[in-house]
Amino acid sequence: MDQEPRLDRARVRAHEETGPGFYWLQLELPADYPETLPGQYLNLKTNEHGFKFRRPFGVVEFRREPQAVLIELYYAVVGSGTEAMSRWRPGDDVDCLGPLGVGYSVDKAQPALLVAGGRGAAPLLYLYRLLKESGHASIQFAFGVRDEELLFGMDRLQETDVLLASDNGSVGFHGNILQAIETERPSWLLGQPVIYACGPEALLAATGGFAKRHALQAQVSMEGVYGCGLGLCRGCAVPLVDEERFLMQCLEGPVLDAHRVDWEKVPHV
Amino acid sequence: MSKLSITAGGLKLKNPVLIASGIGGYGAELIPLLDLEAIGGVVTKTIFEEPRPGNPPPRIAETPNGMLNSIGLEGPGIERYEKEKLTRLEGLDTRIVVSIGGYGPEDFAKLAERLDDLDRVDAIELNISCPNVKEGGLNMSTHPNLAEEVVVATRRVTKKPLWAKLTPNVTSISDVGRACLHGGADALSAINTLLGMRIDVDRREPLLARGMGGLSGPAIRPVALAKCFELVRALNCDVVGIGGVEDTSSALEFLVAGCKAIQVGTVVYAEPQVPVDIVAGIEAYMDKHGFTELSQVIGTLKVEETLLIGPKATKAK
Repeated sequence: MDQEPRLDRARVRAHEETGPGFYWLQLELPADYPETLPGQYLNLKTNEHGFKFRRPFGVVEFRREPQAVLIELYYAVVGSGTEAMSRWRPGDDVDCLGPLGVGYSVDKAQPALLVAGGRGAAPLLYLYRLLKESGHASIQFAFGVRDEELLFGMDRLQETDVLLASDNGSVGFHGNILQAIETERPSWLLGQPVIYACGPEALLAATGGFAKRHALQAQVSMEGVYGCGLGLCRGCAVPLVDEERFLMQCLEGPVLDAHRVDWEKVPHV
Repeated sequence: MSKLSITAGGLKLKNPVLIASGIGGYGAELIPLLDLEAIGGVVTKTIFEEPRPGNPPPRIAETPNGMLNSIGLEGPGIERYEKEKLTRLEGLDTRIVVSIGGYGPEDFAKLAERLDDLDRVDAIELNISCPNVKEGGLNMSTHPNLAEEVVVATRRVTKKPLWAKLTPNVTSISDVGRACLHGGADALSAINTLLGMRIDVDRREPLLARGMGGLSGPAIRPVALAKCFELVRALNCDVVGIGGVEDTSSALEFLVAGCKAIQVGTVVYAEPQVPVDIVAGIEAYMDKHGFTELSQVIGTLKVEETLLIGPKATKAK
């Protein structure tokens, strides 16, 4: 970790349901809050009754104002924690541990191919903005969802950079997003792009295989259950290729080199 | 803060609040989030002689008011622990209790002998009770004789205070505790995790790769408290209470039951500053009740002996 983690009381500045059970949250943090990069996350207490793990959320936007830092997140209501979060109102305080984890490491010389699966698009929207602002030469955004209504953040992207796919054919290519790239945009694979991916583990595992086939580098951001977010509980172990030790996803990730992960040993891939 | 000071299991503590083993890593990791000098001490993550990769994932699962873990005592081994972990705690004004593990008494003795030479090590906790280690297939804290053998072997090689950490997964924890005291333990740490399980019904798979794991967190506190009370009552010994402490009131429950100190565990994952809050909370409680030293709190539970269930005291208190 570059920075030391810290505990803050963040304040909800804005909070909206942008799709069914899907929320956009804007948090206000102290002005001295450390730079938080795409792929890094905040570990939030959901204020439920009784002991609960904190819930990790990848940062979608980070902006400095004179008096505060604004951080945006997207989340889907998937359980009791996110259900409790969905009731937060502007002005509420949120117990925030962060910034945590290691984010994407951008290769400025290579084209960037961003591969998003479902709500995994969140950190990639932020990466996309930073790449655009830095004048990166080639940035493509491939976004796969189960259904069109699960698309989000499209207003943050330039249409010409985007390729869509859906499992049910409701939008874009009918099939998975990696097939879509190979079928619809084979030119995106020219010039040795680096893949920056985030999404369900099955997509990330497939991205690992895809990158191997095309001899590309791939950085994937994994989702997981974190007991602490600090590398202390050793709960989020990721099996590695050719290494006996496990990597702690919360501390050494969540962004990992796809080629280092032993995908066959990752549960539920 | 001297009114909070206490001697537990041969170790003088500035206050009775420690961080439990397996929670704060090797100690230094929590420094950015928690003032370690404000608490009594840290029990470091159990160390074995050799590095251990730990169990395959999934290793943890949330449970009602607690969690399951099946980490499998992952660790760097004593060599790296000494060079890379323990050195980071030099000069820190807090007690360091090093938790050690092994597959038999000779493993424990080997580590204890090595730690005996290190000034930074204030006491040793014998983890004879982790449920997640497959090797040997035996949990030494479920057999009084085996538990005693471990204590005897370590007692022989170190003068540092020895705390034996007990499993609750036995019919009579006081039988195992008695054996440990007989072997020369200065205190009993109780309890380690309870064996537990969760199932994903859609996949019809356990949530942990190894099927079962150790249950911890506030959910186990009533069990922990009953076990600690049983040990104090049956053995009249120093007990370090562990199990679901989450705030001042729950810490005080263990102290009133007779524990000399407490260890805060699982809750630290969600709220790293809680141990420091508990120290302040105990002091406020003592002020409120006009207590000037911790001994006026410890073991002051009012009970009607004739009505109590559980093993009777072997000695008058």
